[in-house]
Amino acid sequence: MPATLTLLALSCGVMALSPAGRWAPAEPPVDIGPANPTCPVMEGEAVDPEVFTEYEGKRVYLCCKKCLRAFTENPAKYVGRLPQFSPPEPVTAEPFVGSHTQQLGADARVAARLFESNDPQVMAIRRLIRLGAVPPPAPPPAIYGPAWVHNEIDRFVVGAWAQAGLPEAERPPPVCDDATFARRVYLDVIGVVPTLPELRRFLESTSPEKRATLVDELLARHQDYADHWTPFWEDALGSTNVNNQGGVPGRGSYRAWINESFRTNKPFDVFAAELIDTTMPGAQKPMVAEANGLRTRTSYILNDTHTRTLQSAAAVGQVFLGTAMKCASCHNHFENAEWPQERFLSFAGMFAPADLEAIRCEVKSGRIVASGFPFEVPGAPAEVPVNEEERLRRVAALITDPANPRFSRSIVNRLWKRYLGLGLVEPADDARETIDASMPALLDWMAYDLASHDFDLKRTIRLILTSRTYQLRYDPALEDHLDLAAPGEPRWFRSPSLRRLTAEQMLDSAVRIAHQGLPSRDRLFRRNVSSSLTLALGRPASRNEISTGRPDAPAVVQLLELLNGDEFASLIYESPLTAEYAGGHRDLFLAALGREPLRAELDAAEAHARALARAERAESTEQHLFLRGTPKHGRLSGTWAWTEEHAREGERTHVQVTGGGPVQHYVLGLDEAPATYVRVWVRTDPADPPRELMLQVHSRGWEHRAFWGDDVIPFGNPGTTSRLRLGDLPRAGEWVQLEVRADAIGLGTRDRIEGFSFDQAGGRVWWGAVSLVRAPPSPGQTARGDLLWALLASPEFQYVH
Amino acid sequence: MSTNAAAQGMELCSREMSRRAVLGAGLAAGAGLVLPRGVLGAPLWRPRARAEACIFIWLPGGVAQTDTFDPKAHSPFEAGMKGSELLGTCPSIPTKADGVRFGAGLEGLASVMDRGCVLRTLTSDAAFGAIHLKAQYNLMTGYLFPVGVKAPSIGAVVSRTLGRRHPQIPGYIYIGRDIDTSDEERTFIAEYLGSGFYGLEHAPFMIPEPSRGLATLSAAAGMDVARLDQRQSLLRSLHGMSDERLRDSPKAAAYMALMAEARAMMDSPVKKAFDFSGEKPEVLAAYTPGSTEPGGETLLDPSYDHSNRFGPGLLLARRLVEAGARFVQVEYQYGPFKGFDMHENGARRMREMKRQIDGPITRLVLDLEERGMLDTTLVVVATEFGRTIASQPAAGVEPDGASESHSGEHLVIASESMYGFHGHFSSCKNMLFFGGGFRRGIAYGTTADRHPLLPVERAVSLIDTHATLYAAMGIAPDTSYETEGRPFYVTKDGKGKPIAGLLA
Repeated sequence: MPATLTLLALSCGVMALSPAGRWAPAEPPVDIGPANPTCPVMEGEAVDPEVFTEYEGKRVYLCCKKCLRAFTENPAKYVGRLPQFSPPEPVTAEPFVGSHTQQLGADARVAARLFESNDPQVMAIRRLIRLGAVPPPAPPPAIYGPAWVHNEIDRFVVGAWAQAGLPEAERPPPVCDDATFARRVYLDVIGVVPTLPELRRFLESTSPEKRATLVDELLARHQDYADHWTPFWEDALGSTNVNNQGGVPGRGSYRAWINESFRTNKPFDVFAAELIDTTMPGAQKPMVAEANGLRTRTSYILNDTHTRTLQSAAAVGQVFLGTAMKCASCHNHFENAEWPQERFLSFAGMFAPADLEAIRCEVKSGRIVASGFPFEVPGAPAEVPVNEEERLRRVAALITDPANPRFSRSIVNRLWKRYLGLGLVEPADDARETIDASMPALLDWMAYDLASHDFDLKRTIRLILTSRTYQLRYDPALEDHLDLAAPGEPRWFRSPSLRRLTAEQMLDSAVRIAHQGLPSRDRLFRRNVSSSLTLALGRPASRNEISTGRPDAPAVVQLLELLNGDEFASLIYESPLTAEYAGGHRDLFLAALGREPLRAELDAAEAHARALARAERAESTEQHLFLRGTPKHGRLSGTWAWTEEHAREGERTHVQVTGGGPVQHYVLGLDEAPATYVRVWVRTDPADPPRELMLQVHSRGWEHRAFWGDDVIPFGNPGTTSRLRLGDLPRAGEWVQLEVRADAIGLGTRDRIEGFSFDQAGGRVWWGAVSLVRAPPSPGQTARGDLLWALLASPEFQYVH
Repeated sequence: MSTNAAAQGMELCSREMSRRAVLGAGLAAGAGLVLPRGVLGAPLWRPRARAEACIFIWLPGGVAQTDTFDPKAHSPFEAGMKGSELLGTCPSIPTKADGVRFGAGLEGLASVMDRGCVLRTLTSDAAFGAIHLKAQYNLMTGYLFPVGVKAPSIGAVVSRTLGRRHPQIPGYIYIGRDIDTSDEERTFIAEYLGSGFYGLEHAPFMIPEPSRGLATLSAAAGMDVARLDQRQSLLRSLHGMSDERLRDSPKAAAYMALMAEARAMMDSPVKKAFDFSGEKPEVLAAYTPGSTEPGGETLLDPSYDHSNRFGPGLLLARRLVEAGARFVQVEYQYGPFKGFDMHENGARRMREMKRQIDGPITRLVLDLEERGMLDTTLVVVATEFGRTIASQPAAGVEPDGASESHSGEHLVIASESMYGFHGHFSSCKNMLFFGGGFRRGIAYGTTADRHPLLPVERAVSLIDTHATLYAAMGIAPDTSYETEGRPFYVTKDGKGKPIAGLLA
């Protein structure tokens, strides 16, 4: 068997090992990749990534210019040797041929060239060739039975149970029901719960493959998928929406780049490499930021000072290699013998313009530590380039090299943790040789599978989500718990761990339920400004430091926001679902919890509604101001002229003389309770009408304005609550009461009213009394709101279960 | 007796916890002696708690020490005077503490200095140059940004280490800062005032404006407490009917318990603390100096006039501590070039700002004393750096370290707007302490009488200052909490050493 085909078999081997069970590969036969790893002319010779030609629409690589000429002169002679043009070889059970690896590893020249560029095309070849340098992992144990295993993951998991003598190996725990599965997989793939129609469609489907189909459908919602991943990576990379943190230039915003990378399902090795090697075509280019007169580069890798270089290197190590080395910045790691200080400085030097000096606890030693890649990567070039750009290119290549299994293990472990609640390796950021992984064979197998499939994250995600293990029912008696003092204790994954929704999952889902939809542009991750609610839910205001996990324990400050905060309340009580809701309580349960209510639950909801209706219904109240003069405490500004001219019975009016342009008279110092509506009486002169009337309300600022007529008074921003047009000028010559909904001009239910300004553009205007109307909502609406609140505040909503 | 015990404590501390000893331990560990997990987390020595509560008064912007707590010679303005001649824009006044003088305008604080002490030589390892935020981060967390870890602020350390004093009063309350993240400065501030990696349990309860209360503690409009309870009982009954496995989950149970705790907090003494109606009018007046000088002329620039928040914030802090709060921080809200961040007309601005703080802080100290709470309540007044002369108003034009080295010989004060202390001075700042086990009636440390106004005697580092504050509250400086598999100390690297001369 020629070496070429052996290598090919390698990348297909995984598929061949798949059982013909429920997880029959829905994807097309594995593409053999864009490249041939050995030269078709000089058979067995590894190709040079920079020597290639196009033939029949496919790229053909050769080992040297001479062979290139030979190939282009007579392609037909060689084409039979190219995998691109021959059917895939039947797969052997043992695809790995050690001698081939040695042959590739022995040719230092080729090996070096492979690491000279991170062009995605070159990376594709590198992946293919370099995978030969690692032995493939052990296949999953032979465990059969369609109800027991959906795919390889389950075979590993059930195999581990059997080995440990757990009873579940004989009697596997049940899978969750369809409704729970739908909610779980929606939250996991697109970060929000399903809408009612989406849920109904899934529940009504009778296809035996409907769960796998749903996973595929959700993974194909590229924008939603990317939107859910974006905040995780913003936290993990320390992406900030400002270029400057505390006067120190930061990493800048990677939000759009992350979103686009996940929308297009960029291979994960390319994603990681682009962060480090910014000469790559898809990389976000560094920006020059100016802070306090200093111009500094803003970029993911910051290496302008010793400290920042160490922090950048440690961040890469933690996020992409799953090992914590920060502690070794100024001394040997106290607890992890894998990280003597010199080893870390050597690694960090790969990110720096020059080798780093050993600085031990703030004392400079004068000794320079030679840079180098600290992990064993067989067959990779050992020498370190001199200049910064080439160093970054090299370290990007070494980190993402398939022969560096830390990289692929670290990301599959993160995926596992994301979907099952705990990692196979814990802590996921601090894997150590002294801490046992749970089910290490599964970890290795998934890592190899990812590397041998172009680092296609969606493939691994699909494997996990379609596994029976992921679909198991939540059971607190079987749930694994992590004891940080004993992270090596085995985890069995006989039940998923209960996971608290993130701030984004929770609020985006709540909006999606309350408004039956949520466009990508309105998702929380795009918001730059924080509120007390988002802060309490654990979404950081900025990302000064990297983090791959938010705290998921609830806190009082957070539950107070859910219990009684304005933002959460208005989301619920001002939702169309609450106000104009046609369906019964049943639909509210379906929308919020993704399941049918029990009879008893409906009874409880209805009992609550009846109790509210019985309670005395509060009447609307109306408070009048400026009937005959200024209220007590009011501080007047502008020219207020009180007159009885045209006044309504028993009242007086206030007027102002204009020279034709905009004028105003206003009052401050009031302290009136919040209102639902603000109304004002007004009479304009038919002989001298104004061009515009404006009412401004002061509540912690003047940014609450409504106007009628032309838009000539320039306060605020047109079309917003600070300058809202409510229609034409009222009919002249008679008293008209103009009405403004308080929320339409941005006055919330707790905003006390401190003043008014009466503005007009030209003309003659008599202003009359102002009324503040306070209207309680209807009992039916209140009951629906209360039920929606109780559903959204329940543990069943707050956790992925 | 107690003094004796304290002295022994200090001795024990300096023997066991000296910088050298800790460094030695670090080196030993580096040489292969790996300390077992757990040992690092438990401090070797725990100081005796003198204070059980703390009111931390935070005056960011950089308070000029020369015009306040460490006055030098008064040098009235003369056009063309040399920078070296400008040592004080106001005369100094005596205080109740023997031999300790303050700048004029602080007559109130001067009258209570027999209950407090002033630290005049708080230095810094780092030069912050033009950058307030890095200095503020440093003061509030003890670490230099960027740290590589989300460092918790002082309030979070106290909350986590000592817990709540009253079960329904949050361990860390923050008064006077808007929850506002609309620009990079405010975003950054919101982060470093928080609980860092300690998590939300120790995040501050933010009370931006005392007069508005804590929004979440009073029922929202259209919702009264009775209905809130009805609604919560609906939640309980629905949860009670949910899938039994979910009901059995410890996480769900903890969540429901915290929801009940949140509801209980709405009835807690916190809410009562907002009701000032029982306070005497003269007390209320002392906490609200207003924006107008007695002469009726000077109005504070409205963009930094927080007179309606700062003073009432201190009153609220006192009431909260009376009710059982552990740590309350009150800020005179900072904004670039606002308030104490003065880059021109410093003489006049200083007068305004001193008036803002003098009456309310004085009243706070007296109130605590009258209630017999001063011995167990530590009051701290802090700022991120001091100030010096500068050819400002443009910020950040001098290279780092310039103000530490120049004598002002070549600087000409050409106009009245240049007259004042407009330069950032990383190398020396003042901090005030009242009650809470600190010594009374002393000034600690001496600074030069000529520019640069550097410490000449008993310079003190920030980590030792933090260690002293923590020691007064019974927190060992090498207390640590684990993050990312390693200990993170409450004073930088656990090396802080309480200053014996500051503690009673």
